[in-house]
Amino acid sequence: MKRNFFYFAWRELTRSAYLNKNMAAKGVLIFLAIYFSAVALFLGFNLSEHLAEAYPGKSQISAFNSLIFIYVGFELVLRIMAQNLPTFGFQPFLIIPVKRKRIARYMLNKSLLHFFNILPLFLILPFTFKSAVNELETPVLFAWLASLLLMIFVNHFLAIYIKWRTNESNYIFYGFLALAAGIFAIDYFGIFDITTTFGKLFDFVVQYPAAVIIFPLAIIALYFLNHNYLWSRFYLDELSQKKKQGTTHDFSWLNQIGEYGKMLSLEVKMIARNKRPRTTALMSILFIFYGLLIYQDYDSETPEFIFVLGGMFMTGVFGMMYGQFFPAWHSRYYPLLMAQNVKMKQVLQSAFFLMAATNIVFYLLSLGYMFISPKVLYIHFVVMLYNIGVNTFVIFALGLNSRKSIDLEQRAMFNYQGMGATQWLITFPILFGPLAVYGVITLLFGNITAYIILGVLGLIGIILHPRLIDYFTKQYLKRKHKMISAYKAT
Amino acid sequence: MIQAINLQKAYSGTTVLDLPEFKIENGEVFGLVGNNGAGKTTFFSLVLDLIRATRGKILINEIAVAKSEDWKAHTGAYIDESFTIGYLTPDEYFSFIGELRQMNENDISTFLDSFKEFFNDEIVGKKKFIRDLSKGNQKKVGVVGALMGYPELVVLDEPFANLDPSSQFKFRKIIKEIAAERNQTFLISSHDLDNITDVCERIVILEKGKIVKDVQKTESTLAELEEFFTGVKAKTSFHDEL
Repeated sequence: MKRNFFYFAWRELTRSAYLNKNMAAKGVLIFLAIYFSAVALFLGFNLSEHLAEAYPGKSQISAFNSLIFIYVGFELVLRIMAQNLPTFGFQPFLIIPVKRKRIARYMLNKSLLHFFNILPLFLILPFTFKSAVNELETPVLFAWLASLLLMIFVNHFLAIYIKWRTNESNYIFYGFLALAAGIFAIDYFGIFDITTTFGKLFDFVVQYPAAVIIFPLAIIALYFLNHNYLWSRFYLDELSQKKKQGTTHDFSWLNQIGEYGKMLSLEVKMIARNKRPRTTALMSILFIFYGLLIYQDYDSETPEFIFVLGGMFMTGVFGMMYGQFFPAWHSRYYPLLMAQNVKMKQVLQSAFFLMAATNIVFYLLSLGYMFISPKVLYIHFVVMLYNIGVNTFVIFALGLNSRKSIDLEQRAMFNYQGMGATQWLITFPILFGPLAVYGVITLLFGNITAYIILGVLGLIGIILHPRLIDYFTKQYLKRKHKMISAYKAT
Repeated sequence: MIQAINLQKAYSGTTVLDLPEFKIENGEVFGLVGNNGAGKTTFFSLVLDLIRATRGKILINEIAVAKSEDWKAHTGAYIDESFTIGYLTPDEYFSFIGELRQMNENDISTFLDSFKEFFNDEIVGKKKFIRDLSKGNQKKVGVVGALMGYPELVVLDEPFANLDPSSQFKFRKIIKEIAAERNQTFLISSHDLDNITDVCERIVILEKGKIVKDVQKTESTLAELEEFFTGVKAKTSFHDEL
């Protein structure tokens, strides 16, 4: 029976429609995997030099050990956000005559085949063979290496368990967030040095190699925790997502905005109530902190280009992330919109309004960066005008080729469902368009002219927007049949 | 009301619907029956301009549906679950559709009140999203949404499927009442011969995209339909044979 299970898994993998249809997305995932592996490998080979610099005179191993907690914590959060639960596709097995324990075990074992479990090896192995071999004697080295490798699996099962629990109810999710923030704060403000203490655990293994036994014990404990969780909830309605009562903030005030207000309030509800658009929106809010990253080294010699780039992202990020899938967000009920008394024009108007409004809000928020340079005030402003007046229509133009439906209830991170060539291409003109305009004009006529041109281009688009929307309405209506049938098919 | 002229739909050379000349009159309650693949949903999708006709056209009130969006104002439809919006509660869905049909809050609640019995207290006033409702209740939301604003034309693809027996009876009654009161045109398809003969005045059998039977309902229609689909003549009584 076990062989049969893996036979199913193999078929599931090789025959999934997703794999065959979406070569572009697969390519990107493979690229990301190779990229992260390369980064880890590079880091692994250079780690000893960095450690020697950062902790002069300290033993390499104990310096390494003291950093493990940071890596483990980061990886845990990443796993919880991006790793799938192993419950996927268990329904058909429920009624076949196999012990449920066996199914649970199979599901847990299968979950081990994950990129996250391989990635740390690229970091650990080079470091081990480059530095650790010099410091530790062979038996100790083995114990230490084993403790690191086993730590990967401790993290794996811990992440799955936490994810299950947090899926169960929102309170546990927020509780977990609070706990994580608390641990970070305790460590950061030096109330209790968790990082070092956690590192001491591995130091302990170096001192007493037999102590490595605690890791397999932890894995077994976590494995059974997961196993029992799965086994005791082997029911359709308990393992899959809980049906909660809808939280119904109705956004009805948006109805008053105009004839497209109804569409707009639908749009906002769509974003607020579905996992994927909601996460997308939340991520775009986080982007407001992008400035902290790229403006931190600003001084009078830094080229102003950096503000154009920053402004682009911070004001336009929602437009980009949302626009990437416009109008596929509505793909599940596109026939309704096309047959009901909604005019295509209203759909476009509400999308335009949404993107324009978020641009303005994010512009106002980004004014906080005026403490770095007052230039932010006008540079972000012209970029925002360009985003509203030009980029929204670039998004509409590219959205005409939208052919893949979006599953609203899936996670947003590392999710390439509904990604086609269009969705990848869309980012190029949106990002590089204004940067190219700025770059060329700055070279020829200087900064100020470039800002004026960007602003004027944006203003032209804003002034002409009723006509442009009419134009795109016609284009969208022309392609409506293609979109409906393509959304049905995917 | 609806007119099909030289209408043809083909997928990669195979014709799935072929209606050279076809008319549905104003106020008619029109039923479409046929086995899977007969072209029922294709026809409805063409009426709603959801798919493009390979040849010919459909007119609603003399306007070609592919040419203008004006027919939307007086057409309501429920074809499949893509006509409901999963992340809205039924109340929100009804008010979304109702407002699109120029109804105010008062109109909407009066309208919904008339479906109280049909909803069986499971739909209105509940804070559950449509995607979390049972299949039958989702269908109820969809078909009632299609009726909102009493549009001149209502297109319902298999409205009885997934409904429980008493809801099927209630819905039959509702359609008959509305059709009698308001002179609305209904296009209904169903696999349930009993339901469709009860509700419809005119019944058309489609087979492989072609009309094979087009009759006004009489006493014997149900028996004729059963005969057509089973290939067996319905048992006639001893007296009839004499």
